[in-house]
Amino acid sequence: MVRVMIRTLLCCVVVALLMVPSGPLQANYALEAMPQSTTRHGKLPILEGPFASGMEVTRACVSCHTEVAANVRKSVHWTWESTYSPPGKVFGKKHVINAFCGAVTSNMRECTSCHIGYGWQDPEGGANPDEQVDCLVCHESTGDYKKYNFGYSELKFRDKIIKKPDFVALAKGVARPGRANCGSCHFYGGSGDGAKHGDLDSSLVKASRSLDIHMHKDGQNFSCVVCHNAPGHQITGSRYRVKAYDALGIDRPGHTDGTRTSCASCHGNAPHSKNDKLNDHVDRVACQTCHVPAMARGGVPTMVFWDWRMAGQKKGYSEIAPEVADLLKKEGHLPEKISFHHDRTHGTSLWGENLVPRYAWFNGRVDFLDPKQTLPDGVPIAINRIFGSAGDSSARIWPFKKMWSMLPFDSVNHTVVINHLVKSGPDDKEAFEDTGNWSQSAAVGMKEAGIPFGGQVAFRYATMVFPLTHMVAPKELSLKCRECHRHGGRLEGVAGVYIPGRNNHPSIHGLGRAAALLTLGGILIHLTLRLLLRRKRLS
Amino acid sequence: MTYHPELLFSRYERFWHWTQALLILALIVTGFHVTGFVEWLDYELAARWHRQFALYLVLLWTFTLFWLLITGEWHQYVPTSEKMMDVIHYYSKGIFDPFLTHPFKKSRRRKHNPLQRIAYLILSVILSPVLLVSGALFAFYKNWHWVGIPSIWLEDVAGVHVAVAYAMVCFVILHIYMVFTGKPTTAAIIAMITGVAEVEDMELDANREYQLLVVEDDAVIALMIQGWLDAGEFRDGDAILPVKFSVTHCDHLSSAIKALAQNTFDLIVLDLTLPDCDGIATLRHIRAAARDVPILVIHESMDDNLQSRVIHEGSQDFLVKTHLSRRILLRSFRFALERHWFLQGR
Repeated sequence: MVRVMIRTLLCCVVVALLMVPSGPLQANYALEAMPQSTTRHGKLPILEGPFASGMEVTRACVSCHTEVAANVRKSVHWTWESTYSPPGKVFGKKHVINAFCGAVTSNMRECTSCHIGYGWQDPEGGANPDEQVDCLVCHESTGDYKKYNFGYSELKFRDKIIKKPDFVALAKGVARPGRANCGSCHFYGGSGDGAKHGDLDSSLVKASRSLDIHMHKDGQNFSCVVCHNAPGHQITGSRYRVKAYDALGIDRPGHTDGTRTSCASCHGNAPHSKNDKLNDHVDRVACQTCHVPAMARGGVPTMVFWDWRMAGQKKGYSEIAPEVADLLKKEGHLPEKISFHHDRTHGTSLWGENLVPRYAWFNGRVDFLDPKQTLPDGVPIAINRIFGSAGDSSARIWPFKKMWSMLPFDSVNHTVVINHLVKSGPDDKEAFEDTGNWSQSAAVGMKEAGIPFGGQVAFRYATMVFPLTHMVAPKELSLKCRECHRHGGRLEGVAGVYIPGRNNHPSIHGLGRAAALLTLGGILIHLTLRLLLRRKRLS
Repeated sequence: MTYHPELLFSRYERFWHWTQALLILALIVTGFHVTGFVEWLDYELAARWHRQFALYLVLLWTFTLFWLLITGEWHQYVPTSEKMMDVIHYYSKGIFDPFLTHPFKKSRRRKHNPLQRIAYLILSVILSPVLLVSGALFAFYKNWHWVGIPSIWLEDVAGVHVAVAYAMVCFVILHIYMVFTGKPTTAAIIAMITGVAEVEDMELDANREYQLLVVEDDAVIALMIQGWLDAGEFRDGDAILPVKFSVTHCDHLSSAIKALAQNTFDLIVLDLTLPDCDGIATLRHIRAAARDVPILVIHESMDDNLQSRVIHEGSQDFLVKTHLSRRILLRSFRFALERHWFLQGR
């Protein structure tokens, strides 16, 4: 009997030992040491050149990658036109305006330096439009590539090439897009590094751990396309097609939408494995609200206010006007921490780092102002508008950058002004950058945009909001509960949701405290009377 | 007036009281953190502790409810109007006079004065359950759809919880003050720590008229008892029974049972031989009809066996009719009342 028991015990011990996991799975197969691509482009004879232009490089690319140009020419990056918009509306860079420089219309020479093609004048009209696709801007890995007027990679003056990159070196170095490739446009939108988005700037190229837990250069070192995967060169995760809440959860091939541009695509919809209370937030709060704790966290400031009234003037602000300071305070920014920038062409802009975002319900729908629209008086121009409310099951509370600006405005027809800001060529004498003359440049811009112009330019406050989703902080830097669960916390103005710790039920708290104080007061009176009468009675 | 120390609060009651006190204080402090009025603690910590303490309190209450039911101590919380006005009068007026004592005499059997009974009943039947239910609803609001509660009620549930929590705060404030209104000031808190309180020695209440039920088919005996009770003091001044009696006489078991159903009596004198019942069965019927009333059996028999049997079945005494005297009867009445009082107090 004893022997049987001992044997059983020994068996149990052996089984238990076998069940102890022997450390993490060693299945990396030294991935980093192996080339991930089956082709090393540097070995391809066709890329030995010589190439006279970027288009000749593209010709070489499409000679093997036969379908890619057709795909690229369907993408938003090429068309600048978003078909995801609500029915009856077409958005996209070609059509919308922004609270920064205004519109691309009548400013194509410079704006198209961010187009992924060569020669915007007629992007689809060349002899072979496939060759007008700029492969290099996304795929070169040397960092020595730059695009100029109308998207050409050669710097020209009056059709004479002044500067030309080493196309052979660029072509041999092609790879999957890195952060710097996407960043060459997306980090610099809205006039400069970090200006536009608040969560995208050059600090992400060499991101630290505290700046972005995914892109951290000594960590996972994700490139943009790890999440913004691009089946058929259609980059997913467009700002014109936001999914405010990804109900599909973890992305499984064949079961979901094939995109990884939501946190849930990798982390699922119950991402906090050790804290159910945090998971309880998922039905109301977007991941970004806690995990993107501030804007412009990488040391590069983002623009918060652009004053076009100052454009054309030699000197900008010497200090922030009280009215603008109030506006900044209302946005939660401390005016003393805001820096200015001024130049004659662009006016004065205000910039800040580590700014607290604005929070609002968001179901993913963003509508943009139609530039032709007549605007009501007395309210700031809403360049874009986000949708969503507490009752909307697809909406979550999201963080936003809210940009303010003082935009030119047609005070006769009450529309925004499309300004002809940059010269279309060396012979153009009407652009604002040369003349500083609002009514002249506005007339040109409005004519090109096909909007009637009343002839007089005034200025009007305008706002534009951007959902924040990049620069994901490591968990120890994400928001602490108290940031929202307090009186006057970050979500103070967000309606339709009960948040413990906000100033809820003020009347109940008032009455309750009054009752407690009355009880205390009654006790004090009773006690005093007891002591007084006791003394009297005893004496 | 003389006092003696008596164990009023058992070990479990003290454990219950102090654990509950600590948990409620901790819930009040963490609760104010959750509502955002205090920020000494990290919010997450405060919220987690609030849930944790609430869980402990629910466990404590569950066990205590069980304890109250099993021990019959729930009787302590049944409201009564007896001495209610005296107690109210004391707290509003008499308390200011250091020479006046509290009109309520606490004992093991009745620990709480009528105001305390009402207060603790409201606390345990209204405040605590509402706090518990609203708190539990709040904690599990993610699962409301299981029972079809619309999630839009969350704010109202929280409002109820907060409102009742303030009532609890008021209770705690008042309760702490009342603890120190005793004489001496620390008497009540020492009683709740050690369990022992100075309890006034009890005497039969001479101001009250006691109700006596005489169940006897022999009218002569009944008249004799009545006569003895009316005769006033003894010659030698030994007031063995310093109380007044009002006598109800029944000559049948059936009429006695009817009388017991209609009135409350303090003492029953029972003849075992009645026209409609005889022997020990008579005692059993009367006992069944009046479980808590002391019974004295009178009988002709001197059978020792029957006498023991009668005491065994719950009678306080066995008086032989032929040996009956006024002194023996009144002495027996007195002892029965005192013994009953003592036994009830334990």
